[in-house]
Amino acid sequence: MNLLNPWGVLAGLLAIPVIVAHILRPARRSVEVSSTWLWRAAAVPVTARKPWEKLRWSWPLVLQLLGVALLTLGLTQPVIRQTTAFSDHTVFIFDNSASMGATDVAPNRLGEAKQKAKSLRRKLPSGGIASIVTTDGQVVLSTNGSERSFDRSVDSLKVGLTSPDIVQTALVAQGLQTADRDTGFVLLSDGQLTAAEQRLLPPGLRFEPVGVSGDNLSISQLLVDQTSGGLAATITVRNRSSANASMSVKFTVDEVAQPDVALAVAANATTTQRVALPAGSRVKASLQQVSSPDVFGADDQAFAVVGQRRRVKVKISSGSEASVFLKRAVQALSYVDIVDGDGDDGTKSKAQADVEIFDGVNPPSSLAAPALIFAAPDGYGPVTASKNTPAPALSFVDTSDPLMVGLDLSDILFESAQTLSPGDADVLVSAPETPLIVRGSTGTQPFVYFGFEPEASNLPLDISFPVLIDRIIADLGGATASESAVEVGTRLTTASTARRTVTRPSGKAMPVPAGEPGPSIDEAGFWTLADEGTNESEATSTRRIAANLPVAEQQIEPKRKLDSVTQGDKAGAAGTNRSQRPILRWVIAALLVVALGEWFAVRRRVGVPGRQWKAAQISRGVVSALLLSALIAPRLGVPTKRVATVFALDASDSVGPAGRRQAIEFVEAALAKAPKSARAGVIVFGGNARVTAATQRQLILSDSSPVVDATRTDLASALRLASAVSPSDASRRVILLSDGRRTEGDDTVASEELRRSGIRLDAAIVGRSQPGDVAVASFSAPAKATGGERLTLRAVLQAAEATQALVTLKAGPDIVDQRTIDLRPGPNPWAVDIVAPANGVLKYSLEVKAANDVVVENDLAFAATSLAGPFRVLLLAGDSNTYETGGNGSAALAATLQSSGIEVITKPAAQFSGLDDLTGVSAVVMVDVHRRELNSDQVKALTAGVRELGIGLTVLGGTNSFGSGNYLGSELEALLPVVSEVNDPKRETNVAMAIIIDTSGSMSAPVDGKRTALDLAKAAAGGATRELKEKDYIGVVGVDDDREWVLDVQKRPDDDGAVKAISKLKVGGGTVIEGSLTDAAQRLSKAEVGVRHILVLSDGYTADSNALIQEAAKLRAAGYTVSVVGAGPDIEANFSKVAVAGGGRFIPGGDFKNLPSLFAEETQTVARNLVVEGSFLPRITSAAAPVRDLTTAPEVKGYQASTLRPTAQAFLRVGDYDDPLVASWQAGLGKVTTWASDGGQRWAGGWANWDEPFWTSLIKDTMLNGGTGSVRATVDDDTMTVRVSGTDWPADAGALVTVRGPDGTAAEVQMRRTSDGSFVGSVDAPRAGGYAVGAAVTSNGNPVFRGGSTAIRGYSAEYRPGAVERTRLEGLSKRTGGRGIISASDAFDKDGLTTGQRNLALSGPLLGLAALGWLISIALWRIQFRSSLATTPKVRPRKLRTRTVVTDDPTQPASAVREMSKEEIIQVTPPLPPTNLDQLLTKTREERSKGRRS
Amino acid sequence: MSGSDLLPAERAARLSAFTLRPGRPLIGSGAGAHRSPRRGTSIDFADHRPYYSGDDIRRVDYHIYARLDQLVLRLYEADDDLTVRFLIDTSLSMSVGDKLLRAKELTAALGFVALEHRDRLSVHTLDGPPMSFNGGTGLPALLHHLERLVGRGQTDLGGSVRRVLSSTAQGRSGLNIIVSDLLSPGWVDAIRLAPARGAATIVVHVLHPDEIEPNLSGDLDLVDIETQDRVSVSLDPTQISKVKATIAEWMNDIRQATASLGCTYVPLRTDDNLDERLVEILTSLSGQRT
Repeated sequence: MNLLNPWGVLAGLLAIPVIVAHILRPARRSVEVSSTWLWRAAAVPVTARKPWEKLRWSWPLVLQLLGVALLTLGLTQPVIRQTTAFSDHTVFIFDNSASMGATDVAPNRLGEAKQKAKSLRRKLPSGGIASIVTTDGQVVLSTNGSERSFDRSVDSLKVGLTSPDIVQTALVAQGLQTADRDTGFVLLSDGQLTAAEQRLLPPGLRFEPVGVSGDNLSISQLLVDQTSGGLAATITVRNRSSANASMSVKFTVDEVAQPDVALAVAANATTTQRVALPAGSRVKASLQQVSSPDVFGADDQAFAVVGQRRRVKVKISSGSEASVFLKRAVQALSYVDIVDGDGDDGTKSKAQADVEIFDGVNPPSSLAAPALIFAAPDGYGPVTASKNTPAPALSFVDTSDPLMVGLDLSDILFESAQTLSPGDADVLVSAPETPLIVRGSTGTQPFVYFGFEPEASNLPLDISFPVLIDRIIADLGGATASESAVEVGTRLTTASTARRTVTRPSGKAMPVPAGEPGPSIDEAGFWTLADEGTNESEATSTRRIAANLPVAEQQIEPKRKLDSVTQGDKAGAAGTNRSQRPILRWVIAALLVVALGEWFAVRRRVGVPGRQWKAAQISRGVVSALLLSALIAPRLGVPTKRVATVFALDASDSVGPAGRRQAIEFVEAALAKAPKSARAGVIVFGGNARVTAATQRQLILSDSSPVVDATRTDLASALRLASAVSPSDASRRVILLSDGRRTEGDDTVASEELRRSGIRLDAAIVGRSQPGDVAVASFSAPAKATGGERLTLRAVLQAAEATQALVTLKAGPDIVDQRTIDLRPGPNPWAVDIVAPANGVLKYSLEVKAANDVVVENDLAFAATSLAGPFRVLLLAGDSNTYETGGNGSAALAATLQSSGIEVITKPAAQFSGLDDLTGVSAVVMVDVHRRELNSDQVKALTAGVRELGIGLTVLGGTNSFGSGNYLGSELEALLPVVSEVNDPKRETNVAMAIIIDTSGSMSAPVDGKRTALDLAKAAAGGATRELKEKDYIGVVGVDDDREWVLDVQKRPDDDGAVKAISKLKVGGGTVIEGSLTDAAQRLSKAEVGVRHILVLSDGYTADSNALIQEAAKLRAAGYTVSVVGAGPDIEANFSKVAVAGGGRFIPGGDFKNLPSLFAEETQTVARNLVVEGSFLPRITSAAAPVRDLTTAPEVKGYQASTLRPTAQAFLRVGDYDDPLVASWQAGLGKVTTWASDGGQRWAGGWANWDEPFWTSLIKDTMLNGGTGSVRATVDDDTMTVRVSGTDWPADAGALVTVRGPDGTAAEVQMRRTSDGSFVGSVDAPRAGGYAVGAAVTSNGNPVFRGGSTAIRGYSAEYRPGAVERTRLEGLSKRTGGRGIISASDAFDKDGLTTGQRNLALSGPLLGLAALGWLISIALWRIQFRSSLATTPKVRPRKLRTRTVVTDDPTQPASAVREMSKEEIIQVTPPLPPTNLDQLLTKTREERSKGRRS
Repeated sequence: MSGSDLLPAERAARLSAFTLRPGRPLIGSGAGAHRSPRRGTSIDFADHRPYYSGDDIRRVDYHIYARLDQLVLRLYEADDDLTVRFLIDTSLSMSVGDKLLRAKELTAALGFVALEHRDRLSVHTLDGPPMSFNGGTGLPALLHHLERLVGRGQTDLGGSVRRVLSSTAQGRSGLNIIVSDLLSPGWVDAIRLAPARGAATIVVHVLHPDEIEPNLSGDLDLVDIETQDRVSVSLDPTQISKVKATIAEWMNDIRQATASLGCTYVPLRTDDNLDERLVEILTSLSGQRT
């Protein structure tokens, strides 16, 4: 236990007055009695009348002392200390995406996440602070130490309807890191994140899964087309549960309900149904009366607006009579006009057709329009038809093709079909014997060829037929509907600069002023965006948009683990941080019980006057009430004028060191004048923003500052972070210290958010003057050239003032041209002519230097020219080459390719420099490359190269790639046609693993200050245990001179048990690993599992490594595998061969810090058991070019098992489970092919040495092959200009250009056709680095040209020449109602700020008051404050009061009566006969004498 | 306080039917309405006795002398008056809880009965001189005297009884009525002395209910109202029952003592209906006359 307020111990002094009250003689009440002698029997001896008496233990005393003890404890704010794996500052990232609304847990997933977060919050270390970020990038709570605020913030979270914005969330979450505290991250999510998104998450993140079931029915797609009779809706319903589902679908058209449609969907299947609807513009579909579990309701409805298609003229030609089915299907299309052919109505139009259909007849050799051809007797174009194949069975559907997406053709049967040879046409549907449907192009006209008559199959009877015909006609006729459906979460944008009105689904209209960004769509339904013309002559245009839940959010299967997230190093962190759990409530509750007990014990009055005793009782009542109140822990919200100012310091390079110094001086000057109550915080920003000092009182600037990306300036994220760290309990101000030169981010939106939050923004200008700056503003070279051609390189040089500059042009490392030139202020064009060499890729750099140049970053620019020549292939060799005997086959492959005339550039994968290396390259081949050999930037560059530049990629496997290379879930894998996992439960094997840890003396060396190598090894072993399944076996042994099995081989213990056992490892003496392998194998042999694996961790030394190698080889023969993870100078020499001999992997660990992740990775690899070895003959499963002509093939002796992606195609399959050996798919412009075996050194020796041109054919197949033309991209200032030019492109051709930037984000470029027939467009390119530009020119959906280019931006916008942008800063400030540019003395000014509110915790003061009250009640109860003898009131026994009632009621008896009552004697007196006693006596005497006489 | 407060007319009317009639003849000081143990001059024959010289020869029963030749005197019953002596405890303890008031009311009522029958009446207090009341004017004087009585001083019941007796003429027994709370150890002396000289004795034991059933608790300093003696007690239920037992034992002692001495013991609680108690007392003394 720990005390947060040690001064509270002073309350223990209260025991003194309590004891004093008890040793003070109790004042005895004096009572007068008639006589005391009868009472002597009860007399107690009382000593002389001293004020003190001996302390006697009594219940009141015990309870009162206990009460004092508890009060003291309470006032010290006790907490229980626990070890915790949490950092001082924990950022809770809440997934609040739509799928968190699933109700598989009560109340929903977000509700479960909230509960988890609250319980985790209590485990934070003492004084720990927490922040809350949601996955829509909002900061809900920042750096707050109050558990109550946390709970309140958590309670306020709501489920959104969008997909997570992980980029923004990760930026914000990492921005909350404070310089003075360790920061950890917790993600509470159902795990619906892509591998790429997972990698964006901060390292060391702890994932807390929520959700239990993914049973969900959803409308995954709702398409609506116009037909002649109205509308045709195509609804696709996905059933993600394991039960068959039936339901009714309710359609409304323009809010008019239509008859329900019954629908049945099999378990884990998709059903598409086409439904005829009356004419209208808005269609809504919703699922009702669902029979199977559906835990997510938000995706049970979908919205669609009717797309407007261009009208298409179709001409049908047939031999005898065209297929009825075909005619009906075409006629049903509302946008189709049938011309000239066999129209039903007999009208013959002579108009030019947009699409021609040939049903059973040969088309003319040169088509006038795109064509749909059914079983032309002689085939068409590249497609040749021969004899009929009877009853072909459908075996392949290329679902990656837009025509085939979502179509289920599994029930289609064929009577017969032509035997086709597709030529270079793409096969869409095929049977093993022949392709059935192909699409291709002859010259300029695209076509789709069906190898069968419609009537020769049951296809026309299937729902997919009209859909397929619709798609084909629309695709061929260029009638694709305009995009009018968006996902919730997108921002409504329009090119118009006019005023706009956005109408929400609820009907509420929101005007959007001109120039402001539109609102984000945050609700599913029909939205309307009305652009009002900029002047009266322009009409208002209205766009209707159907917003649906993001499709990604319909996949709600919760994940218990994120593959790409490195789990927090729990074992290693345990014991380093301690959490505090407040126990004040329990103390107060106990105190309340004690107080009530004491109240009972002193219920009788002792010695003190009654009034005093009553006062004591009342005081006790008050104390109990105070304690009850303290238990409730109330808080009082009080308005505060306290000012909190957050200083946002621009640390970008444009500000420079001088500017940064100015900023710090400004902050220091402001802090010096800050009032005591004021609070200040500091954030620093560049391209990202970080917290330097959390908002606090009396801030002292520390020297350390977090590192930010200084090459960019993102004012928006700075403002958002500043807003996040501004405490709500103060009047808030943000002061932006910047030069106002932003490179990215929408700062106007951010400042608007500030204004809405009631935060004022002021600014101060800091920055450097750039008087003598010179810069290369742009530099370009021709994209392509031939050897010997004269090239002109052009540049624009920018100068701030007239100066002389030295300009140096280099081609590669060689200086080509160097001269001194005079520069005028402003832009100076510069050009030079050079002669291109014969072949290769020319990379130029241009540098400019001047005397007073202060910004050196903008002095350099790059350009490249690709020279025509033979195909160039970049071969990236994996690292395994360096230590495994015989290499990984890359050299042999390179030789094979070179022999077929391909130029091969071989590089170790780790040295791949990105887009720069891809210039002029047609294909990339990777040979056994481990995931870790390519960093994220390299993978991004590779992705850009493939997707945008159309560079082919061939990935060859081996023991270090695919599953063994930890590809699963990686960015690299996203590019591949296979996934490195096998989900077949039949193939699941259990694993027994022994971990041998070197515990020699050298392992005690500290690694990162705190932890030793052995600590990290322990953490790694603990992490490895967590990766295993419950049925797996694990054992851990420490080896020095002896062996100590801290965890004998056993079924996987629970995490705590494993960590406890592993923590027993101790550092010993020398290292004798020999023998331990055999020992481990003996122990592993007892486990009944499929895989037995030994993992050795060493720091590089063992007594006899040769003996170890032999031992490993022996075990390998006995079915064991041995891997080695190690670090240290001699590790490779001594241990790599052990791993090779043991059939496992050698994993050099670098330094020990990587051990935990390496262990986890190795364990995953072993546990997944993806390596299949044996002897296998591959089977050909495709008619694709590289394997089409294979008649015989060598065997493979092993491969990496993987799963084919749904849209990928397997060329070759292998093994008992038909695993893909060669798989291929299209990724963007490029084609990616994988080879699951290796390059020949271990498994595929027969293939590597094979004479057949297999490898050349495989790699050439991936190369881009389309049309003539060129793409040229130049970066000028912040803008990239793309020009796509070619010759003889049709007039209706369109260009689609995508640019992928250095950060991996892709952007589409709007291109316009210029007079010379080429296309030009531009896009923002603010960042430095390589840009990949991919272009596809199509005409009528038929590709005319595909090509790519790279552009390199030498320096980012941050370094472009220019001055301070004062107006921007002032504008931002004014937008929030701020004062513009201010001085340091105004930083904490209260004027004009919105009043904040702060919460006072009342528990402590209430407890203090209770302590005081108790003391008073004890004193009142015990100590008599008035002199007892002098003023003892006479206590008389109860006296009956007498009341005399005088009545003259004649009914009353004449004689007086006296009635007795409980309280009084009522004396009823008649108005006495005027008598006195004498008369009365006389009278009575007379009466008596009368009586005597009688 | 007026006399009618101490003796309401209604009570007087009711009591006028009663007489004070001790259970046995008592020697009075003169002729009265009560039978005397002495022989007197009434018309009621009582006995014969031999003649002794000096006897009044008018009383010789000549019928017997004629028959038996013996001089025998004829004795007749004597009717004596009755001397009623009230000894009222006027100590300070009697002032507690209307005890003195009750004592006064009782004295007034019984005094009225006595005076009605022309009995001799004297009222003794602890400190003042004894007062005698006779005849028709006696009652107002009695009431006046009683009204002036206040509780003061300490109880010396034994001494008082002795004083009362010493002031009594020899040979007159009479009726002694002691009205007291008997809250002093001297109660035994008082009861023992009272029946001396053949006097009939009634002990009226006046107590407040709180003195029989003490309603006290806690730590108390009990202050004796007469002596100012202090007794410290810590009264819990055990102690209270102990005290109650003591009180019950004390009252039982009184009852037994009075019984053994032939005294009449009349316990009177201040909350008793005095009229009923008076009827009880008088009935037990004399019975209702018809």
